Amino acid sequence: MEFINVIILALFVNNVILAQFLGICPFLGVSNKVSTAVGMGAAVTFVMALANLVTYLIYFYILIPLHIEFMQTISFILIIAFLVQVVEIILKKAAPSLYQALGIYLPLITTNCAVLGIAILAIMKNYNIVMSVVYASATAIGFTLAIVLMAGIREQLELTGIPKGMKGFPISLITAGLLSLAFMGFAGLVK
Amino acid sequence: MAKLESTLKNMILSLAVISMVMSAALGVVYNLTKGPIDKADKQKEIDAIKGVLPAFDNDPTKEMKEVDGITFYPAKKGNQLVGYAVKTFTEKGFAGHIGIMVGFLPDGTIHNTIVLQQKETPGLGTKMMESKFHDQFNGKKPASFNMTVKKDGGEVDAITAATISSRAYCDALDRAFKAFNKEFATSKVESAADKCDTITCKITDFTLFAKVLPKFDNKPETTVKQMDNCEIFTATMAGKTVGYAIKSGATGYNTENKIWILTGFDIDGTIVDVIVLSQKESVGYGDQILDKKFLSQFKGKKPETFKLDLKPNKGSIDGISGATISSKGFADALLKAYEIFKQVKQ
Amino acid sequence: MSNLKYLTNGFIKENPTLVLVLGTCPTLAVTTAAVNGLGMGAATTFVLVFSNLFIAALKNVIPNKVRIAAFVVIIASFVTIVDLTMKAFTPGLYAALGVFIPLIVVNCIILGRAEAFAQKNKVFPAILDGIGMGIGFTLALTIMGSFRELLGNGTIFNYRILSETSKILVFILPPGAFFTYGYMIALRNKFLSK
Repeated sequence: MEFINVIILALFVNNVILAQFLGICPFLGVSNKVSTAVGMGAAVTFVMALANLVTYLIYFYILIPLHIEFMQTISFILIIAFLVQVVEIILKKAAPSLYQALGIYLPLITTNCAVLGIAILAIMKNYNIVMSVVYASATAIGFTLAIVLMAGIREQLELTGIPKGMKGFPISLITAGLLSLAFMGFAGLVK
Repeated sequence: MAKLESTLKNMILSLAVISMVMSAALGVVYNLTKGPIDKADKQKEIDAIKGVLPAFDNDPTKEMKEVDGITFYPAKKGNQLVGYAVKTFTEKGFAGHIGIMVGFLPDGTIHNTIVLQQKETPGLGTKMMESKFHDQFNGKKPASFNMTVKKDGGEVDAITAATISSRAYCDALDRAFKAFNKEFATSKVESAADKCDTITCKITDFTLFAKVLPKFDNKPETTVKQMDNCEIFTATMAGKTVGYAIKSGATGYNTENKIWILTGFDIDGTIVDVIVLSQKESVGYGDQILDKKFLSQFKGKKPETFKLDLKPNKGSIDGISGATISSKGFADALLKAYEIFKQVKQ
Repeated sequence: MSNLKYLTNGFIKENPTLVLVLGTCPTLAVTTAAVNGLGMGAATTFVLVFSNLFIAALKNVIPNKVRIAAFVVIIASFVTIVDLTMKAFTPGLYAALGVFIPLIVVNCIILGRAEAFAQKNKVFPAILDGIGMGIGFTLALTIMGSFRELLGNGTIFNYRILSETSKILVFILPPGAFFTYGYMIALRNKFLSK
């Protein structure tokens, strides 16, 4: 039951992009096509689940025993950078078309605040290792959800007339604001 | 100077040196800031404790005790216990974790509460930090004050449009009280219910008589008579007897400590009122015999017609659901008091 | 570019928040109050200046292939220094900014300037660039924070300006952040593309 709660919270109520403001850069950058958005979402999900797993182990089995918790930021970001590098290599071999489509945004997963942010938050919330991975995966799926929704809307927006000053980021941000407003309606889902 | 070549040796060397230098620098800063960080944290705690209890002069953090995620800080003035600050929490906030510091006086009354951490919705849940909301808990005894929101049948005024946050606040306070009771209810400290010492229940608070008897002008405590393990106090007005307060005890759920009650009868045998002097029943179940709701059913009743046993036993007493044995213990004590009354009246 | 230009570039012309649209996560998250925006801006500026300084100074001893990793180590260290210092000396602000302090390390502004400027320029210009970008970021964040605080709470830097009853709550909540940011960029676009 606890799992369901965590999943619903992560997907809807506390959606990582629309409520917690993590992962905005790729959200604004990669969300112009639904297909790219799905690919990005999948890559991020993989990285986040793995990142939470590894950072948890490092934190509890290395940082704490050695009393160097203050090395959390450095170690976590290095782990994430390393994992992204690994994902890059795997994608290049296994799914070259996706690799091409994601382009520069793949290495940018490293600086995706969501990955580092969720890794840190899972520790702050005292989740055990299984819950941490579930939390990360659900959050990443929420990320994918938001990004795909955004992409769908933006594909439509391309076809309409938008005032010059609003083109690009402004209209995307306003759209995101409306999505965020809608998602706030999920607030009562989990007691 | 040209950039270093990306040979394997250079790469590893460069990264290693940079990492080591930066880590060393970090270690230095860490040691420099450790003192101030600990001090700031401790100051925050002491400030919170100061805010929830009356004046004290010890360092409560030196004698703190942690049980199950709840931390107790005893505050003393000289050698007198002033109260306990209890650091409690709830995960049921709208945005999850809320940390609250509660100040309990030794008898279980809430002196004040302060929010330590919260991430509730600004303008809604954050109103829990305003006196308008949290002052309502001050001076209340959770033993007799139903600490749930009115919507759930309790006595707490929730924040408009922030029911979830309000419920969470109550949950944290309730957790603090249950822990407080568990830790200190069995110690020598007087809990909310104890109005006498727990072994023989010698009454020392003589204002209790006025609560259970009709108007009198003598000192009932000077008239004490012992009978059958009970004590009888006579109340007179202008020399004429107007009533009797009888202290009786019976065993409830807790087989080691009796339930002691003080029942006031007027000369017709009508029960004026009943007070629980001492009980060590289960927190949240049997201790509900302290509830006004339970005790008020006896006011003005004549045991001739209001049979002093539980309804399922063909009596007239509404027991407490989930606490039949405690209720029966109470009823037994009441019946005993009546038997004694009948003997004394002769 | 003259040295002065390096400094003022980040104020308006290449303002990281409104023009380059970098560092969007903290921009949206911490601007619920003016003082939070100011605090975050100051912390980020500190990291930006020092990381620019170190990277410009060390650029010739960092082999190309490991430059990102090296940048990250340097940036992360300064972020941790800011984190520890704030925890010790400004606990209130520290609690308000929360997880976004360690997240300064992935603030695209810092890595972006390291990549685009610091590793190609001398130390002094790099420092100026850091200060300029930092000020531009702080300015944007403080303005946005003031706006959201004023409309959502009626106060600016906790001084009450509007009455308690004229609060528009949505501005302190997530949607308000998106709306405010979007309109700020639109306004900037309109005024600078004349």
